[in-house]
Amino acid sequence: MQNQFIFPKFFWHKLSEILAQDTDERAFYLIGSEWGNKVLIYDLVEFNYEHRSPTYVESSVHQKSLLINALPIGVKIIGVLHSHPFTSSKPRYSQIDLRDFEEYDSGLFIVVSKTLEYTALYRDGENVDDAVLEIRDLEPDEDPVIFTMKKRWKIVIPKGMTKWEIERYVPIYFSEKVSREILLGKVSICDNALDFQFPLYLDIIKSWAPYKIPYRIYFRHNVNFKSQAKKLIKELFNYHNCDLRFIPSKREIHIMNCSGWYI
Amino acid sequence: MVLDLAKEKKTLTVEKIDKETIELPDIVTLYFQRADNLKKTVTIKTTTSDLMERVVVLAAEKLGIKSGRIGLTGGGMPISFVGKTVGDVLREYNTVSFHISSADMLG
Repeated sequence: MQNQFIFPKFFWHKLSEILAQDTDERAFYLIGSEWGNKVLIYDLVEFNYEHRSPTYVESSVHQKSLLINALPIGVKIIGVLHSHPFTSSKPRYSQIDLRDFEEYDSGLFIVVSKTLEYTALYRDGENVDDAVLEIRDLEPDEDPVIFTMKKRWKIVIPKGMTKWEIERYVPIYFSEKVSREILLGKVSICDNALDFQFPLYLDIIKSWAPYKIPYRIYFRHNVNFKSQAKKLIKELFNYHNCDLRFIPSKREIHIMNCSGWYI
Repeated sequence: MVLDLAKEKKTLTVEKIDKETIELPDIVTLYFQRADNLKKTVTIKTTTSDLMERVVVLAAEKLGIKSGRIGLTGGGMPISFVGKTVGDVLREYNTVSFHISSADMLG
């Protein structure tokens, strides 16, 4: 089956602006959904770099784990895009790149030159194929819609998903999210009975993003939420000096502005 | 900032009591999962005086993580474990369940 890889124009334009400013490599996690044979990209999250140079990038060891935990139901890390600023022609993967891809069971791996020439591979288990990106606006049925379930869980699915697909696939996505949250929850003993509380959370929303994906961060009960949220936002998104708008009634934090070039 | 004040106060009280009365057992079982694939889980039985770094490296090997740089999260937070004993980590982070992930390295 031939997959379609849809990369929204908004992000491609943003990338061209950002990469033009930089002589060091940059790398981004591709966040999105798989729907039928379509791989839809809804957001990019830049590495929180441990190391960065003109020929090498390395993420923080915690970022991927925190990011996977933060993703709403229905959305996952689709793959990784990184730049080779030292070339303007069609880029090639390095040995380091190929070794990194092997750590993934599946994924879309894109490398772009300074001028956004690209090479893309899609790995699905043992199968690895070249991928051709469709760089365009999403069709209305590919746009993400966000539902809230049981007043707690946010579900992001393509608008065109049918009732049949929702009824069959959402329970599978839901069970993984709930099992992650159960592990973060707290069992307490009260009057000889056991009680369970799901963890406290806040959803982080990038105010400028075309698709408002809610990224969830979790808290232990005995922390200062504001300072912890700032630390986790830095760890998750690599944003610096952000203006944050806290909306406790909706359990949301909106990131308004940050310094530097970012997506 | 107040998230759920009534519940939060109640929980804080319980936590205070927990910290005062609960002592760690000598032998503990730790659960490690690959952050990108929860189905891959290993359990490691160890003592609280064991070095956490040794246990994490062993768990990463068993989970098939090849990268040399690995990270640990638990309770939704990054966990710093280098130079600490298992007991130190359990007391500080109050969990026995951890996610392991590796850094992405690209050239």
